[in-house]
Amino acid sequence: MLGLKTDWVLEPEPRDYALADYEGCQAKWCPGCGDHSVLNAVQRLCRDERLPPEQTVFVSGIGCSSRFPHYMKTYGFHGLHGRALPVASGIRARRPDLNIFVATGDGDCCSIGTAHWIHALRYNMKMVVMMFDNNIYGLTKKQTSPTTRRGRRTNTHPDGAFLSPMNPITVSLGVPNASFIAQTVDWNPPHLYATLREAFHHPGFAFVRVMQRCPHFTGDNFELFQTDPSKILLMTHPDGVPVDDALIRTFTTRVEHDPADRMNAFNHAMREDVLPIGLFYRDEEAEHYDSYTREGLDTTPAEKVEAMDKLLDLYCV
Amino acid sequence: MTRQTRLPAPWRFYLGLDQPEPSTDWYAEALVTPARPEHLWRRFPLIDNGDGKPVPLPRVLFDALDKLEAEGAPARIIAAHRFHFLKAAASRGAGFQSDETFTAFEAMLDLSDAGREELSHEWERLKPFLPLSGHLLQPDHTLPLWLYRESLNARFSERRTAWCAELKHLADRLLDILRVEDGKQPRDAETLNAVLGKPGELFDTEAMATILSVPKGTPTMSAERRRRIADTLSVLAEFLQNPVKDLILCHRESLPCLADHPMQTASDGFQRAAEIFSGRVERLNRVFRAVRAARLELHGDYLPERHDLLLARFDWRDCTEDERFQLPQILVVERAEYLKGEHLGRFAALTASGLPLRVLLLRDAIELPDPNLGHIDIASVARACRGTFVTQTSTARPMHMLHGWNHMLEAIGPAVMVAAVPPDNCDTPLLLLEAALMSRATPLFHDDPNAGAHQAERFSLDGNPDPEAALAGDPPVTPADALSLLPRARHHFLPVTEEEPATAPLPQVLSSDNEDALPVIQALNEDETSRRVYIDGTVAGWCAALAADWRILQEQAGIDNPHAQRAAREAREEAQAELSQKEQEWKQRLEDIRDEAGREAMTRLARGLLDLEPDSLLPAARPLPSPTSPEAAEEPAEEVEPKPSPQAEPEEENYSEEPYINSAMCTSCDECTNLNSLMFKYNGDGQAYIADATRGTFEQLVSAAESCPAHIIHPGEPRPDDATATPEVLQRAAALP
Ligand SMILES: Cc1ncc(C[n+]2csc(CCOP(=O)(O)OP(=O)(O)O)c2C)c(N)n1
Ligand code: SF4
Ligand SMILES: [Mg+2]
Repeated sequence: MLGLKTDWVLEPEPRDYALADYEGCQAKWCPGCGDHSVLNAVQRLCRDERLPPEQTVFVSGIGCSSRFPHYMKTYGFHGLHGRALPVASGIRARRPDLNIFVATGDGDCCSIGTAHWIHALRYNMKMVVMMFDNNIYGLTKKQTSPTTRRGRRTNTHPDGAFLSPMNPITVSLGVPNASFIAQTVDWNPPHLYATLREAFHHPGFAFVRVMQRCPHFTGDNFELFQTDPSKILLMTHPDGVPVDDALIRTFTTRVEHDPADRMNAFNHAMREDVLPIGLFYRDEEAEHYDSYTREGLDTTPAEKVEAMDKLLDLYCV
Repeated sequence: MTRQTRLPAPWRFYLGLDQPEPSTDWYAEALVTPARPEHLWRRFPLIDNGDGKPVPLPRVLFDALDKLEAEGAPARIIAAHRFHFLKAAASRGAGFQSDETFTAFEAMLDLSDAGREELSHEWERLKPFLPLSGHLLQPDHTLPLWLYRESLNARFSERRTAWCAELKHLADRLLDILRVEDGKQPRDAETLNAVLGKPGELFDTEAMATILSVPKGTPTMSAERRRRIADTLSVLAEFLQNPVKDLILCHRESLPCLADHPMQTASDGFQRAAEIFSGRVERLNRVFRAVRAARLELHGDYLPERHDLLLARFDWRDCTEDERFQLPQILVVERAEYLKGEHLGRFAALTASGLPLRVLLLRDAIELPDPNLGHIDIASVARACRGTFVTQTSTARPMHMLHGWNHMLEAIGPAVMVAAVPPDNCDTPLLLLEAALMSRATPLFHDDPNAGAHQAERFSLDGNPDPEAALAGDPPVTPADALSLLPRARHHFLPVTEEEPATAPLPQVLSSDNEDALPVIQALNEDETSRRVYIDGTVAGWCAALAADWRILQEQAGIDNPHAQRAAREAREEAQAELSQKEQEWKQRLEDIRDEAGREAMTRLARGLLDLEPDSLLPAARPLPSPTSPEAAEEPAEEVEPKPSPQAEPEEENYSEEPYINSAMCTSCDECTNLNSLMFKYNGDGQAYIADATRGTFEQLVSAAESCPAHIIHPGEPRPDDATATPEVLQRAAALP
């Protein structure tokens, strides 16, 4: 039709949100804890992407970082230790209309939850997974976690951790059908935000390892990287995490890395002389388990009963 | 002495004064090249297995044979008798069954037992490449409707099903809302008693009711909203039970029809179509409104004072692209020659109605104008209405026709297809259709008013043979050649027997190269020797009118547009003139420079020789201006004086007296805000800034800066009256990174 369409007036009012619309309880993390930074970045992301709080859900396991859902004024599920991902996958399976975020720690994800983590990567169901890596079990007060550096003294290894740490990035890169693997640091809010934003727009399972400072138990852990940004390797690429001039000025050690190149992603992830940040790998074509689980969403209860009866009838004698 | 007063016989024939017996001893088919049968039979029959993409059976067969050949397992017998195979397929009628066709084919060949066995092996190899069954389509008058259905199914079925699924989803979610509402129990004492036992027995239900009635959950829905949801639901449910219905309106039984498509015969189809559409779309309007109401309800966004009014005014004209596929497709089928008198008026009224109605007009590919009506081009009548999609097409070009339907069915307004079909009882339908195309008797075109604002965007002659030329073919095929293929038109032709008067080939006459000669076409005798045939004045006039129509179409399609050509010519001349003027100027300038430079060189040389200053014998400091840089020639290069350098400004030191925070890098860690929540506050992004430095001390600023994990707090200079700025604190401030 010519001219003005009247239809737009009938659209639901577009809703604008303020940060306060996402602010849940007062965060009870220690002052100086990197978790605050992630919380703020996520709240800004929700606001900027205009996510309706009632359409958004945060799922977590157990740990300091896993308290995250309490601090968001959205739906949340603070579950069992290591079991955030199965719960989130379940939500995704039948509520594909929701925006799903997962908060998990290095202990929660890479220790007790490893099996779920590996398979969730493979299922590639759409969600943003933030793995808060402070290299320690925080909530239970300083036990060795899978990512604790060798030699760091902890309550479980008072003379220093015995083994070299696991590398969650190379592990993820090795999982078939993994589709988005990124790394960022809590102390650079612009990079953190840009990484989370990319993750949110990824059509599948977006795994983001956030290097997170724990001033209380591992205060010196990232000090070197914080005071000398040249020790951080900024991965740049048009298909990667977008970087602005300020980031370029801050991070003088840079490398152009095409996130389609998985083998090269391994090479960067394995480096120990620098801490790489940015997008290691992205594959938007990877298949999604949720494309199967969402089938039959519109069956009514009556239809379900009928189908069930039919099935049971098969076993009538 | 008798004077020769009688006109020569050919002239009398031309003017229609004599009507000699039509002669039958010549024919023209073989000359309609390249429309010769062997080029044509590859195109038909088409085989259609319901996927909306009919393909020529010959092509399928030949491709399959080629593939077998390439794989090293050729089907020799079938390849040698491929035409028999096609004949066997066509002879079985419209329904193609590969096995039946094979049996008929086998019966046509007189094979030995060994040969039959070989043949059945070949068939086993070939069969997987062929469709097992399908519908065979010939270029006759049933083809347009068949393709109409193809297009309708391919483009509409899925979208309509998807839309219904969406409607069902909306309805289910509305039902959910009502179900939740039904589940909300009043928490009065009576209900509590029912659950918790007699009053006072275990609990004081009266007292509980007063506490529990404080509404904590969602409030109960208003009666008005409930009614609204129920109404919306009933409209959706009614539609889901009884979705869109299409219809074909036909004037007479004799017109082609589709067995499984709703049809009605109506003598006033053009008028009825609009009435039927309006009736059916009214129901759809209610559904479109219900869909919008449902979406708003689901978000809890329905505002009666705003949306009631807007929805009441909403109709199909405002609907979305997806919804447009839900509109009923009403197609009127008619013979083009039937559009005379009042019917023409009604047809024009339909095309001007703006309603998305479809019309299929069937016309004979070759028809002489009706002497009583003159030359009415029905496609032009339809094109006269802005906003009407018009396509003229031919059954000889099924893909053009299908393309036409695809666009027509999605047209927002009326759409008309004029389809050229072979005349009844025609022995060589394909040849005739092809000749009609080549001679421009039935040019193909699409005129799509929605394709753009300019003629060049909306009008296309794609699909015509050799669209740049006046006539296609070599030698060119004229409408008269095409007409000569029709036995009933034989009386318009007279074979040439004498050399008087002068003759000229018809194409020449049409392009006005030869106006004094009688036009003739080329034909063949029985013994295949060539001969010329006169055409009469009626045919010549008709050919000229068609040629003029074609020129106009070419012009509209941007081929051969005199306006554009004139503009281009003028622009070229202008550019040429400017160029030669410039050239002249440059020559002159070059001369001047040479003169001047020569004079100066001579002067310097003379002076140098007189003064014997060694320096001046060095090459001239000033280079010869080059003719390619006019500025250099006009303005002698100025001596470049060093510009006085701007006053060296003392570099401003980036000192800031005021304390500040680089907020973008703040990690929102609460350190500083815990220290002094009046001085440090979070901004709209949840990142810290110094809200009011006077609400705290310099020492606090320094402490905050020390504990800030992001190192982004800068304490600045202490205020003069700040007693906390002790030497020790100042030292700490200086030590900050
Ligand atoms: C099944 C089970 N085992 C052990 C625990 C004890 N526990 C609670 S939190 C935690 C480790 C959390 O570490 P991490 O996931 O890194 O979170 P952080 O506190 O460091 O953010 C452990 C072992 C538990 N709650 N449940
Ligand atoms: S101490 Fe630093 S990082 Fe923490 S809230 Fe204040 S300014 Fe932000
Ligand atoms: Mg941890």
